[in-house]
Amino acid sequence: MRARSVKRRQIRRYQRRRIAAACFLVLLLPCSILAQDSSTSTAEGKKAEQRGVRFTYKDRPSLRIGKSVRIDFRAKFHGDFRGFPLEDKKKTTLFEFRRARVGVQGNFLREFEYELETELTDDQPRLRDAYLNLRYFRDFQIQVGKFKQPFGRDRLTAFHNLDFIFRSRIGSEIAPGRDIGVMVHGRFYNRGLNYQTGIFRGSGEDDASGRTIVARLTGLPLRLVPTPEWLRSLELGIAVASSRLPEGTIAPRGETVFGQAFSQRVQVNGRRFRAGIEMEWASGPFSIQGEFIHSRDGRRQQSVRMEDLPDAIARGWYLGATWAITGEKKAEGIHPRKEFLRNGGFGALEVATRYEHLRFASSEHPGPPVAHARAPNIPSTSDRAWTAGINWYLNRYIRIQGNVIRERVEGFPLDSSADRQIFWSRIARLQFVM
Amino acid sequence: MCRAKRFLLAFTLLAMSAVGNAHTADELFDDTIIHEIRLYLHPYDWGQLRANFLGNTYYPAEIHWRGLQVANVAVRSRGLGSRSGTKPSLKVEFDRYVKTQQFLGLTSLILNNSIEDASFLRARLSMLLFREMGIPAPRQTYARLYVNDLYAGLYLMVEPVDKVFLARNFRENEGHLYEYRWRDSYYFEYLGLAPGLYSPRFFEPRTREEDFDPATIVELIRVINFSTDGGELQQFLDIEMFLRFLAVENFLAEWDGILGQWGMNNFYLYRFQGTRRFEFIPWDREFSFKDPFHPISFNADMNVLTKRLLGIPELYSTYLHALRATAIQAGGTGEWLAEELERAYAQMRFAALEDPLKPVSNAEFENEVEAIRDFVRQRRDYVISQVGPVSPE
Repeated sequence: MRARSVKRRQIRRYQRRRIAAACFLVLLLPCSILAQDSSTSTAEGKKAEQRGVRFTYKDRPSLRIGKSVRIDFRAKFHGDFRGFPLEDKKKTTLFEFRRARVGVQGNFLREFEYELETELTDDQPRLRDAYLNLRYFRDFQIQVGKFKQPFGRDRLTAFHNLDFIFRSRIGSEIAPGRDIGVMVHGRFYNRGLNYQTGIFRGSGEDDASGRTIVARLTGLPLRLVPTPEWLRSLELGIAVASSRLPEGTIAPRGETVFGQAFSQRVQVNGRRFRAGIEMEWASGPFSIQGEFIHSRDGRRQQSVRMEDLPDAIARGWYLGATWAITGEKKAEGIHPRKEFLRNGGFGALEVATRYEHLRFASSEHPGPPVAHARAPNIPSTSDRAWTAGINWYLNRYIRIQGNVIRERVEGFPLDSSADRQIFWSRIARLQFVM
Repeated sequence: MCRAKRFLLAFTLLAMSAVGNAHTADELFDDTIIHEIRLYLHPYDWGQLRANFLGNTYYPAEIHWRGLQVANVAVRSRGLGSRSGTKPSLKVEFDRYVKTQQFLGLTSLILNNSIEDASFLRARLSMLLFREMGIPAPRQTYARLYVNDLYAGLYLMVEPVDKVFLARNFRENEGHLYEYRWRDSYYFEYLGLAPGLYSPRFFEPRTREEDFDPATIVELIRVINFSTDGGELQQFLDIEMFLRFLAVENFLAEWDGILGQWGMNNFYLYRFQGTRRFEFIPWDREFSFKDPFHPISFNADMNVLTKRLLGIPELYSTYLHALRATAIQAGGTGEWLAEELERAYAQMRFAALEDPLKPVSNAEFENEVEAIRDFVRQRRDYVISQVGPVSPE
């Protein structure tokens, strides 16, 4: 009975992925043609703005109702070809239809912004983002609904804008995710100082922690002092998050890029406190981005005899850099100067590299380390990953990415399959975003 | 004076530590007393274990016995039909989280909830009789189990069949040990050449998992089914030993063993190191003592191996001899088995009556014990009457 139900779920998932794949191909074929018509009827549009309901196409299809309602239709698709690990003689290369998201976003009554987005490849389709933002005061906006919590630059970057195929380990494993909540945010000094603070139901859909309070402050401090122009885009940020951890919560668990657990499953209770600092700099075709996150989970009454245990610690950082070889500016995202197959264009080419480190342990080390969920001394484990990548932007819709990743797991290898300490992986991604 | 005091103190401490370390696995399985085992698990984990009793998730725990305590042990729900969320059957592993950790030389321990045996006697008496008849069988003794200092019921503390057991019984443990896993009604039929049809499907490796050599099991089953020469089978089995095993099982009127009602079940198979010779080891005997008039060749025609062996007159005679010897050893009223029954009953009666989680009432428990007494009273005479006069071997 159970096996049949699992089978049915697999079939449903397979069918959904097929539908998503079909949509992907349908959208992929004409997109290079559509890309050539980026500025169609702009002048006409301005005149027509006053005239009731109309349909426009600039970057993406959009429905406008006078000046008061705007509905942009969005679609995002990812297909991955992965081969891993390179040194494995029995390596398997497989294609995975990884993401298929569709949604709408826009605004109405001038001061309200909204977004609704769903993932088609999930077993149970669910809304990824569903929020409403009131922007009447630019320096005091209120956002309500389900959206990403303001913590961690990498985590807050939309997946289709990432420089690499995978998020950083700290962005995936430690930073809080999407949840339902309310956030106040705003900008000062012509975006020189931004703040975001909110209260959320939890720390993410797959995270059991309870009510979470988050605050983030980012800014461009070098704008305020006389500095060379190329340095002024340096953005620095700091974020903190505090969550309640109910009984039965598991601390963030380290996983390698391809999802192999490398740290101990640890029971936590009390409070989870996360703090992060971040930086980003972009000038011309170059960019550098870095981040550090420290997470500390309480383990109140978590020993087998219900005594308090030393906190569980997760800590990591990354530093990445990109260079658009074809010369496009990075600051606002790469837009190819000459799109692929248009007037002999090649698109834009960017190379990127990132080094990162993620470590798990306990705050104190009483006795020898033992690999179980209530061990006083959590075995120290870490993952160091180096990624080299290339991004080929064919046009504004399509991007092809290739990454080679070398990971080195240190400490207690928990899964028997994790005996090998060094993993080489390679992956290619075809991305379509509209 | 001061020096004398210091010496006395040091001597006392040394003596105490010697006593503390003097415990052995033999003492743990000492069946002349009822033991007390204390397990400490986080209440959340204990709740999870009980709620998810069909799973095999391990939870960290601490175990206490006679002043000895072992931390960082792993506990999980175990069993097939005996799984319960109310009174879970438990496996305690000492070396799961700390690879070198042992407890009195043991790497694991079974705490059997006995929920399939309302009398708490069947498995204990069965294993005693197997051992009395010279067949290596796991030791069992009673224990009051306390979880987080609350009485969790009467349990049977069972010695696991593992490398420690093999070393104790066979003086070697580098051979291949397989646990027979009931999947469906199977009685040693030849299913084909593919090793996967037998192992790990039915015969799950418990030692040398990386090199579990199913080919020899295929060969054993091929010989059981097709060899024309009884001598060839002798290369794989100590036939006399196997027939004795069968005799004890049938004397005990076992419904869920090699001649089980629903196919073979509840045994281990050990292949001695560097040989093709297998030996059967009994396991979990909670469906024995069912009927004093249980036929002495129950289901023998269903099982290819027993049908083959008992079809040979000399071997059938050997089997009858073994059966008779078992009946004589067990005895009737007031004899060995009856005495063992009363000894076990006296040990565990109050613990059973106080067991708040047993699935039967106290009256049902007493009735079950009485049914076993009745079995013991009648079984010897019935078996001997069925065996008839046996020619001397």
